[in-house]
Amino acid sequence: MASDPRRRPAPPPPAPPTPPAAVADSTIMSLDGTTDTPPRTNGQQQPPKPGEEPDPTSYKLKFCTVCASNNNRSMEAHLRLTTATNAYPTISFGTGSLVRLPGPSISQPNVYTFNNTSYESMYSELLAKDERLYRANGILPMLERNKNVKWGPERWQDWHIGVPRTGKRIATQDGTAESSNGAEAEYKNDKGYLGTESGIVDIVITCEERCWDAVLDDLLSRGSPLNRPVHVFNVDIKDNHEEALIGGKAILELADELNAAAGQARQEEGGGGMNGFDAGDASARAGFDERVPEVLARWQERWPQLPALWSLCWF
Amino acid sequence: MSDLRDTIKQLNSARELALKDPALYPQIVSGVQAVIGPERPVELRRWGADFLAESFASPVVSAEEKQRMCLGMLDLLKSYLNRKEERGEEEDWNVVKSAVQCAASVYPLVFRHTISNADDKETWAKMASMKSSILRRMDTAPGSMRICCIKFVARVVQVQTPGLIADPRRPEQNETSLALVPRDHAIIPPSNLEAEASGLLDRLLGVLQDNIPDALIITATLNALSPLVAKRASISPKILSTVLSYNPLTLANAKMEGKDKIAIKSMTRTTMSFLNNVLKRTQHPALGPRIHQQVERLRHSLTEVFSDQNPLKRPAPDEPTDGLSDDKRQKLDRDAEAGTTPLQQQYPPLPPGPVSLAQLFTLTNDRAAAGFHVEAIPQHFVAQLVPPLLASIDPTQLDAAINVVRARYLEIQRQPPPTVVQTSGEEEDDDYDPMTGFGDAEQAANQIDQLPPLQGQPELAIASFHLPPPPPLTEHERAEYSETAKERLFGALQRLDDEARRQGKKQGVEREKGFNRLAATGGEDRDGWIALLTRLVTRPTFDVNQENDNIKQEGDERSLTKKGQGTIDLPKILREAFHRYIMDDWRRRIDVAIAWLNEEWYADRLLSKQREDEELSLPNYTHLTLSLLDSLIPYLDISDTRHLIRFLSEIPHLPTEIFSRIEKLALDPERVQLCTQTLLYLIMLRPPVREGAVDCAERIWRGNADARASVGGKILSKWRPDVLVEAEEGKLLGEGVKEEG
Repeated sequence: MASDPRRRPAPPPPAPPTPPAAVADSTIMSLDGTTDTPPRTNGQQQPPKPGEEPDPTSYKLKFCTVCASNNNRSMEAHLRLTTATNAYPTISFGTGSLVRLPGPSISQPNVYTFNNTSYESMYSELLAKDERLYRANGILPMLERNKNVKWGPERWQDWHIGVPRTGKRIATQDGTAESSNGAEAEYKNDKGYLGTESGIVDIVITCEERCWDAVLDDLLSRGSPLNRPVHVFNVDIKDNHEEALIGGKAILELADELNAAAGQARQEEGGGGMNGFDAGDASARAGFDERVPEVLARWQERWPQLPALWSLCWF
Repeated sequence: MSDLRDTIKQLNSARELALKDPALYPQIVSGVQAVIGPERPVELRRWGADFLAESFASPVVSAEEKQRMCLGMLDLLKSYLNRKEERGEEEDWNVVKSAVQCAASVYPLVFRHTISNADDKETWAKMASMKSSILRRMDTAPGSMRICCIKFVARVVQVQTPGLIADPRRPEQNETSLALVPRDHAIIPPSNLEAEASGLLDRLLGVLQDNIPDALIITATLNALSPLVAKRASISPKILSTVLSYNPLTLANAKMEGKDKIAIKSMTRTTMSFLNNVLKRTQHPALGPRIHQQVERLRHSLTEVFSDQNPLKRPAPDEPTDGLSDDKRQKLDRDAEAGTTPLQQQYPPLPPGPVSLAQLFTLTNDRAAAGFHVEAIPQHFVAQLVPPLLASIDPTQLDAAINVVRARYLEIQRQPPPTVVQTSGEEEDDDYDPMTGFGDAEQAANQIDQLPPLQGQPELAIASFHLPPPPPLTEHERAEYSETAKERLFGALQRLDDEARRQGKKQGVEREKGFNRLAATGGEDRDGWIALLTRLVTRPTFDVNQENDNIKQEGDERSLTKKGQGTIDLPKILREAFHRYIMDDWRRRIDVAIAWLNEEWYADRLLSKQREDEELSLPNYTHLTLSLLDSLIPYLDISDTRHLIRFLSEIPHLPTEIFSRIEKLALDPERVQLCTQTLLYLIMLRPPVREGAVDCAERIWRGNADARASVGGKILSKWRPDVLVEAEEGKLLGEGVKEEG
């Protein structure tokens, strides 16, 4: 075999040429029978160029991807969601206590702290340690990808939900050891930053049941002070590079469908029938949240190898 | 439209300012109030409702700030919620949804404001109006909105239920709850509010009690109830007992589709998370074990239901209803074929031609039954089986069977008896079946025994068969084959030599050596092969067809040269090959030479005995020994004493001709010592040849002046001193002659 199968073949393409959203839309339309309403025009799907305001009429769900170390699966999904043709506002977290990366043996992992270690510093450290090993097991390519996505791994439990993510990162604002090389680390340099300024997301996607449990438990413990609903999904992905790639694709597909459903629900409302608070017939026009289980079930049929879970939680 | 976009753009930049600097929130919230009012387009109202919800939820704005801000916003919120009453048109539900979220955030703020401002009826009235509007529509609202209503209700319950007062002296630090409300509050009488909260809680729990299959509502409710359990001790047992008795898996059934499966799984997992969270955070001495138990039960049921994708119940076995499954049909067919069903009791006719006893008594077509050998059953079982079997057989059936056999037998008797050849021919006929033919040969023999004696049959005699003699070998062919045989024999020896050399001295197995070893074991090692070869070489002289007198006549050259078979003599070829083999490396192969010559001697002896010679003649032996010695002598070195002594001492017989060779050897002054030592050895340790050896020494002494000193000193001085004396005299005489001359 010419190359290690676990090895990440190449940096992912910046924008997958296939527009999965179109496929997703067609299924939705055919199933709902609401083909008269075009989901979104192509013009609306254009990703906003840097420094330009996003189209105010286009609606985008805000996503959050979560895995154990905020390195492999969540970052792959983060990249996919933010580099798709219809780029989504995305942030990502890890639920573990520490960032653990494979070391020379299973009992010698490379351990880093969340929130104040940058991907760049991990990369340079491992590069100095054993370039051959870490390139062969795909760690260096992974970190290379990650450092282009955002500054460093963040821990879910330390996330201050609702605190605006603007300006410099907290770790660097504190003036800790990272201040020298992290002084320029601003939230807006993260991929998928636009739309996440308020520090709130609509959808959380975890990549492992353990993480889903951790997220739910954390949200329950926080006492939901924000009164804001959030859909927490789990998509079970094995923690390796190949599965992460597949999982990233699946997550993007799920995101596209969810976003299509949300956009559709919003347009139906804004477009014509004032089906509002007082509408007697609730089932006539379902809002986005009710459509979620259907969307997920359809998605699950196509991705049976990635068992899904879902819960409506509160921030 | 572009106007609208610009406005939203401006609003967004205002929001960004607020996000970057939370201190700007009050200013911006009041600033945008006019832009997002009820008369503005739906896009702006949406933006406004979202922004308000976000602002009042923001953790970076202090509660006091929000409390001040919210008072000015209540009218706006109310206009969103009550649009139909106020304006006669329905509000966009996105706006309402955000407004309800905002209301949930604002409610504690207004409540707190009202506690401290007991005279501000108006503010509380606005909030109460919103509350009743939300509660009124909660149950009929679409799911998206209903979950927000649920959350609002949960928040109301939380506020209107007494909570812990951490520090009574600093009420602003305490969490907003009914506990802060004075008992005699004019606007919000605590008892009324608590009753209302209790009713609202029942409404929330009703969702779980009704076990509705809507995962959205269920998970939203469970997640909204969690803070109540954690922070409101007075109502947590009620909530917990409801959740404990809630089991979403009762909705599971065999016909679940993908959506239901995910929904049920998600509801169950959310319930488990809820309970685990309670277990982790709070100590419920009474409920703790129950919670733990319920979590475990849910986990088990979940794996049971979803473990193998199987429906809950095993499907009924796939059985045909008409009783005509393939198995049964086959059985019927078999019965019909075997003719064992009473209705079609037809015995098969005997096969044409001679039959065995077994065939005679076989009344079934079932080959398996016919081929069964009854001896396979132990005798005592048969003894036990036969009486009840006989008793149970239908007599008419038995009679019929006996008659059939009898008729068959009579029929056979009428036919001419078959011949042996025919019988054996039939045995191997086309229809041969190993199952039915079991024991047929014996039965055929029995049958033949019972047949009348053969009469008038042509005698069967097997003529003896002779292979045509092979064409006689030509001289050339014979030579060729002899050569091939020799090469193969010695090729093997060469190979074994190489092997032995490779293995060196580490030949672990100690074998019987020399004469006693069996030549038949040869081939595995060098010694064995040599034993085999030596015997092959020496023994062909015993030709079985050879007459004794022939041997006599032929003498030395007797073996295969007789009968005019030409000049090809395999033993001769082999002997030459042996000779060459030894001479190739004679120092190392001296043992082979000795073994070979021993065999030759033995063979000659046997032959001599066979011919009853008067005296022992060793034609082959003598010839070969001398020729080998002749070949050796040129190579003998002064250091080869050891080899020569060994050779001469170990060969079984020393012909007298040997000494003439030694004499010649002594002519070489360098090898005189060698000869002397050899002779001395023979004289001392081989008495039968002592005489010859001493004679030889004497001849040397006499004939060879160079060797005189050595031979005379070592041998003659001891074994024949008289020669020396004689010589001394002669010498003196000679000297005297010299002197005289």
